[in-house]
Amino acid sequence: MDKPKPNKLVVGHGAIVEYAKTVLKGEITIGKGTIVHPTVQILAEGGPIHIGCNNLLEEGVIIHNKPSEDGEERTMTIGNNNYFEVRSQSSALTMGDNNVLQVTAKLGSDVRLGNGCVIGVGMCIKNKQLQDVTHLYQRDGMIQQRIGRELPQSQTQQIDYLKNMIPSYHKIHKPTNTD
Amino acid sequence: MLADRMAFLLNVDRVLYECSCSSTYPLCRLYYCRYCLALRCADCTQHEADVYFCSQCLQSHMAPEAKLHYMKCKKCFECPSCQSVLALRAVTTLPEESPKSTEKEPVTSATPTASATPTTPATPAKKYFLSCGNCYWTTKDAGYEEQELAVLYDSFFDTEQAVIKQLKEAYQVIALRDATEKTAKKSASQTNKRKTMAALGIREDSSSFLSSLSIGTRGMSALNRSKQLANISAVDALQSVMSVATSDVEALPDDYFTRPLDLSNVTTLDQRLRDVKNQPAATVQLKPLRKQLLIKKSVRCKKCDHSLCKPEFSTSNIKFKIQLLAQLQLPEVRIHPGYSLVAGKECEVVLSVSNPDQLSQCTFKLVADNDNQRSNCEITTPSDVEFSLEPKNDAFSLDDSIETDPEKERLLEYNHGSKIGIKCSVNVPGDLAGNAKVCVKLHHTPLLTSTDGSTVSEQQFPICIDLGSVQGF
Repeated sequence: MDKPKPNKLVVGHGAIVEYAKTVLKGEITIGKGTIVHPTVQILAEGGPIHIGCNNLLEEGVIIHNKPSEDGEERTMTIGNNNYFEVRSQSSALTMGDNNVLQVTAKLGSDVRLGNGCVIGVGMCIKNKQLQDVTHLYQRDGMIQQRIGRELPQSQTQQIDYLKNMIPSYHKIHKPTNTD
Repeated sequence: MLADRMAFLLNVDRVLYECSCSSTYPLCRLYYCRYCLALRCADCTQHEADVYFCSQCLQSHMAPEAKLHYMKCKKCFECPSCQSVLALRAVTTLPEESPKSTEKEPVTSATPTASATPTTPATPAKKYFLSCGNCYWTTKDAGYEEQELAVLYDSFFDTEQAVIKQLKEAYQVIALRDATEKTAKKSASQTNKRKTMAALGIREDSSSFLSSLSIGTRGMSALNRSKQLANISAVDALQSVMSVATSDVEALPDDYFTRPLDLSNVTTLDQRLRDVKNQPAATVQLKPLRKQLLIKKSVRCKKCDHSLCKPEFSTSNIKFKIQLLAQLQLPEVRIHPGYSLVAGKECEVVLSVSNPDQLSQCTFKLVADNDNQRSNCEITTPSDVEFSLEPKNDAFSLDDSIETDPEKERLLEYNHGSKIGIKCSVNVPGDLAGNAKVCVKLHHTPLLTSTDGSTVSEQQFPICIDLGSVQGF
């Protein structure tokens, strides 16, 4: 049994990471302008987690880098402008930019997301490689897939609003001096 | 297990009440006409559409207006991909001269579109597109750029709209021509009649004769004119829009059968059939669909023409002005779960009866009706005992504080005041094929007073109960 890895958190400039109610384990890098709501869990158990810039992680989101079966350390990379809606979970090791995980959507560790993918409400995806701008949604219990033409709208406005609001009601992590 | 029980409770088709037209329906689908004092089903009632309205914007439309727009809402659209409602999204753009755009979305900022003319000062113009919150489909996927609101809505309307309009006009002209021909024939026969009357020496009242004659001549000249007009314009109109048969059909592309199929570019059958006119085969051809209007329906008794159900006119109000549902007038009979039927044996079944009214007591008798053709088993019920039910009380506690006659107590499985369970025994024949069905008659005096003030006498309501499958030995 390996010892639990030491916690190491790097918070980029302008990122809002709530202090008291978030669960952050292991080696985590959070990029510039990313918002991490209270009750978010980021668990870097199987290796470090790198989260890019301007991502929005809403309440109850779980980002989990699961330990691999052979014990090999794997790095989880999440791109920029991704939007994790309330209580969505992701163990996907690679995720591009501008993806949206809608409410309670779940991604397994073998999923690879491209750019601009939308995972519909409550969908569980175990093992799939999604090309760019794939929209998955459910209709009458049937999973349907669609290739869109444009990336989903990014949440710039919402992020700007939260950047002002969260620090006035919650204690937040100080940005780490990387230089 | 719980799901099984819920399915049993929600299965309203097990106990069917016989309507006055002798078809059977569950109680919740029946009306009770307080003027005829009889049950009325969907077939013995007249249905009228009161208001047409859009379930999204709740705007009500009158019937001619709704028909004009093919029973669709003018402003609300459905996603062609997942059938949820499309939301209107705005993009604020500055004219091309100032490259700095204050857009809401950086995605669209890559292609700023010119909106205002270059001479006007730099006022931000709002442009709109529709997007789906569920599957993220946008009108831009269908090839519509962001537009001003009116232009955007216009662009969704069918290109064939003009052709349809022309066809409509053409057929109106044809209908007019037919009508004029009919009236011409009629007036011709009338003049013939008059001639014969004159020949026979029968005199009509001179003033009325003259007036009818003058109307006739005026009418005829107008008819002739419209007839000529109709002849010309109908042919013209039809020819201009007539479809022409052709043998030149575009050949299929060479790789049509060999091309690998990408299912994400192909529409599903549901998506295709939602847009019946276009029936898009590829996802790029999907167009926003206009939302279907709903109606508020009022129901009338066919016999006495009184209203049985009349909703409030306002579309945001879900209440009813008149609602004579059978469920609010008759005690509801249901099968109590947890019984088993064995072929060739007498089995006990508990029928629960509940009072629908919150104010008054209700009395009834449950009489076995074994002669009914719908039954295939014999049921024995306490036919001669009159039960009474307390007013329905939602806050009623389930303690056994209800005092009942010990004789009646013996016949009851349980007594919850407004709901009682009556023990019945069912004699299942040994050679029964299919579900066991029994029939009972509910002898009940309706709670309402009749319209002329006299008291209502006891009525009988035949009920057909499907007890389900039978176990063998």
